[in-house]
Amino acid sequence: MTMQHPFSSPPPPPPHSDPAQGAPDALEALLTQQLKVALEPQRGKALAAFRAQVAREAPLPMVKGVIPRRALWYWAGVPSLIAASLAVVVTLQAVNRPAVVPAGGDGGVRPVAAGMGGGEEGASGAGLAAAATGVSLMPGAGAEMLPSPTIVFNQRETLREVNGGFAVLSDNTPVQIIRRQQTRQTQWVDPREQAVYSLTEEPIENVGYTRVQPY
Amino acid sequence: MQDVQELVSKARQGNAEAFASLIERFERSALAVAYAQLHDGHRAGDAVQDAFLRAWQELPRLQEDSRFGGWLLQIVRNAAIDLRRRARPTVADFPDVSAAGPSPAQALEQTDAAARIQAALATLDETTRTAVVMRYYEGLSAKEIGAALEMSPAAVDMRLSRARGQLKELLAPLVEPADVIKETPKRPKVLGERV
Repeated sequence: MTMQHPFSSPPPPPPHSDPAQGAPDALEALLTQQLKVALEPQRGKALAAFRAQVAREAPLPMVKGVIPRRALWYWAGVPSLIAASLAVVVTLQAVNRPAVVPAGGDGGVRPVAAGMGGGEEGASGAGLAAAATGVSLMPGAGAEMLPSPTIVFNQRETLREVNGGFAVLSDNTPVQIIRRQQTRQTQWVDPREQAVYSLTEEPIENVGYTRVQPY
Repeated sequence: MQDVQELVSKARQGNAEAFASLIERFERSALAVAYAQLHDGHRAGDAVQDAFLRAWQELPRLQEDSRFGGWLLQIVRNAAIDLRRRARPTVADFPDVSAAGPSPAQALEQTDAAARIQAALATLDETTRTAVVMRYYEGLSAKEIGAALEMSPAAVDMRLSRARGQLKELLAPLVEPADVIKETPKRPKVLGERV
């Protein structure tokens, strides 16, 4: 049995289509017009909302084809391999930089005095970098560039504060003198010469004054 | 055109296109029912939208496919009542004068007429108002309205007839020129036949 929907509404017939009721009068025309003005713009809203709802509920479209597990491993592994290779290359480059050592090395630990200006922290940083990058540490001492790999194996930085006693400034302010001394020591190996070098930077000293409260 | 029961059956199985066809078929009736509750086209549209979404969710619970129409209109009615309960002033509550007519005077006139008609419709009881909207918006016959509202066609005719008399009185200034207001013509013959 099929149901004939009694009030489904494709194109609406004019009001009073029932022959028993005659032609529509002014009131009916007014009502029809007013109701159409109020309700016709609302048509289609429900359908649009429903279609949007269905679209939201629909499962996400599947990508055609399946990525094989092996390919997945391959594509996941390639970036890791590249990153690892780059790391190795960068490390080797840093290690293989030609180091500068004093001429006439004969094995053992060789002290290298860097030309550090006392009191300037920037200079101390430059000295430390020199050990790693191979810039001449002792330009005036006949240093020689060696292509052999240099391995830094020890680097130590010491900082200490020394009481420098008391003093009175020109404006009669009593102060305590504090000397802050910083030392850096770097040791590395030259495999070609089978020598161990040691670089001790001259202490960097900063002098500070701390006001003393007189009682 | 597919039969309603067939569409309902397909929709119950999750066929969205079948339900979309049902929306198209029942939209006017749903708007009529919602408008009878809310007296506002915009809010009626909102209620109908909610109701169809609810109906789509609740469709598996429908006992008989043949009762889809009445079941749906009940959902629409409930959605409209819910919307009315949480009614707040919105833009839709204010007449859009700029869109109502070519000139501001005409726009105001139309807005005033719409307000009077809404007020007149509001004096009717809910069932009669629904029948009137279905009649004059959707153009349904007494039999079709009766099927939707679960009433006999004769009862629908009686309600429509009384409503016409009431509305004619209330809306006389809009229907007739101000200086030639006539008495509401009675239709004893029609009423006699139908009652």
